[in-house]
Amino acid sequence: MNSFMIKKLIAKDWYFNRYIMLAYFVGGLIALGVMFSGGTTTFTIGSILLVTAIISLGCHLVMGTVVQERTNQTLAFIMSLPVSVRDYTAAKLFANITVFLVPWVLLSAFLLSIMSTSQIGSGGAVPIFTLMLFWMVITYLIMLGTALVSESEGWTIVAMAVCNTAFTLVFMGLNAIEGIGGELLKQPEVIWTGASLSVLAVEVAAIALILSLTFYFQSRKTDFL
Amino acid sequence: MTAAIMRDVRKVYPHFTLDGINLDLPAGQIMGLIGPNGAGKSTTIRILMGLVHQDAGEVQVFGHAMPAGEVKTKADIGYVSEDMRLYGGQTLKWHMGFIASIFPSWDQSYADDLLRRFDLTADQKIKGMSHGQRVKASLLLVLARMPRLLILDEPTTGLDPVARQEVLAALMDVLADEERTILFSSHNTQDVEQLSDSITFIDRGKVIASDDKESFLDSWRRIRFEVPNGANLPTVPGQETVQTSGHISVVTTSNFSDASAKAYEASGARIMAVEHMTLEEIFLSNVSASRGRALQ
Repeated sequence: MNSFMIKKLIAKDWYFNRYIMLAYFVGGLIALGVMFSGGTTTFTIGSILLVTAIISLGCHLVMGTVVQERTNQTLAFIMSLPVSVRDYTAAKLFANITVFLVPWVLLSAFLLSIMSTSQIGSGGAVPIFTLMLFWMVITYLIMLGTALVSESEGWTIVAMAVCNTAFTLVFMGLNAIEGIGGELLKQPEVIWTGASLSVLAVEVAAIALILSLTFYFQSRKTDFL
Repeated sequence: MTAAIMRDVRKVYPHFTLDGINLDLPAGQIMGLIGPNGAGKSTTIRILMGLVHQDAGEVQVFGHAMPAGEVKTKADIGYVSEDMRLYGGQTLKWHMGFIASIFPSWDQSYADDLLRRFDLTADQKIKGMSHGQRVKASLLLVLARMPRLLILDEPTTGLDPVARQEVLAALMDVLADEERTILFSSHNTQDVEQLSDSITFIDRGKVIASDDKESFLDSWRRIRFEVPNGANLPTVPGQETVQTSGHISVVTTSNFSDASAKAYEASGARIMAVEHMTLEEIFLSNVSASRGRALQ
C-alpha cells in the first residue's frame, strides 16, 4: 500500500471535516449539559439530543466524504492520483473513523464518567449506555461500508434508515436482558455482568467483521469509476 | 519508444463489450481518440489508467503492466476528464498546494505562468468558476506537475462554443511548449483535428481505424460518378461506402489513387468529381462502413 498517498488523503478529509467534527462535538456537549441539568425529563431529552448528535455526525460524514465524492464527481480527481482502490479504501476508512471517533470518545468519556459519579447515582445504566454507544459505532461502520461498497446513494440511505430504526429496538432488546437492563439500571454503582461483557465482545467482533468485509468487497472490485 | 500499448483488450459489460482493442501510442505523439457517445472511449482510457480491469488482453503503460502497475503508472499520467470535478468548496490555490505536496515534479513558476495564460485566479473557489474555467483549472493542475503522458477524456464536452475555443486555444498554446505524449478523446472531430498527430476511430467497442491524421486526409476521397445504363461500379480495394440515386453514385474510398480512378472508369462510369473529405466525414464513413460490415 502507498502509505504516502494514504496519509495525504487522510489529511485532506480531516481538513475538509474539521468544522463538522467540532460542531457535532459542541452539540454533544450541549446535550450532556441538558442531560445532567437535573430532573428525569431533561435527562431523557438530553439523551435523545446526544444520540441524535452522534448518529447525525455519522450520517453527515458518510454522505459528505463518500457519497458526495461520487455524486460531485470529485472521486475521478482523487483516483487520477497515484492511488489504488485499496489505498483509497484504507484512507477513507481511517479518516472517517478517526473523525467520528474523536468526538465519540470524548462525549462517551464525559457521559460515562458523569454517570459513574456517586452524586448522580446512575452507575447501573453505564453498561447499557456503553453498549449503545458501541452500537452507534457499529451502525456508523455499516453505513460507511455500504456507501463504499455499493457506491450507491440509495443503498446508503436505506442503510441509514435501517440502522437508525434499529437503535430503539436494540435498546429495548438489551434492556430486556437480565444483567444488562431492568432492575440493574436503578443501581447507583457500575456493575459489569457476564451478559453485558459478552454483548460488548460481540460488538467489538462485529466492528472487526464489518471492517474486514468492507476491505474484502472493495478489493474484489474490477471497475472503480 | 512507446508510451502505451494495448493488445487484444476485452472488457464485457451486460450491455456493452469492448473487444479486440489494439492501440500503440508512441512517446511524443498526440493521439486523438474519436468515437460517438458510448463507443468505448472512456472505458478504453479507464483501462489504460488501471481504474477498470480488462477481462482479457495486455495493457502496458511506460513498461508497467496494467492494472497491477496502476499506482506507479499514474504518477506519470495527468488525467482530465469531462466527468471529473475539483472540490467546489476549495480554492484553486488549495488544489495547487495539494498537488504540489504529492508530486515533486510540480513546477510552481510554470503553474503561475499557466494561471496568467488561462486567465485564472488562484484564490477563487472552484464553485465560483465557470465550466470553462474549471476545465482550465484541471488542465493547469496536471500540466504543472509535468506528467509524461497526458490523458484528456472529452475535456471540451459541455462547454459553450466560446469556452470550448478558449480551452482549445489554451491547450494548443501550452502543447506547443514541449514534446508531450497525449491521448485526447472526443466525439467532436474538429477538436481532435486541431490537436492530434494521429487519429484512432472507435465505434461500438471496436477500433475501426487508426492512422496518422495526414494519411487519413490524404488517402480518403469522395468520388461522384455518373453510371450509365448497363455499367456496374466495380468493388475497388479501399472502397468503404457506396450510395446510389438513379444514375448518380457516390463512393467513399480510404485508399484513393490514380489506379483506383482508372479501375472505376474502366467499368464505363464517368467521374464527375473527386473531393477531399473532412475528418468528420472520414469518421462518419468509417463508422458507416464498419457498421455495414458488421451487418454482413
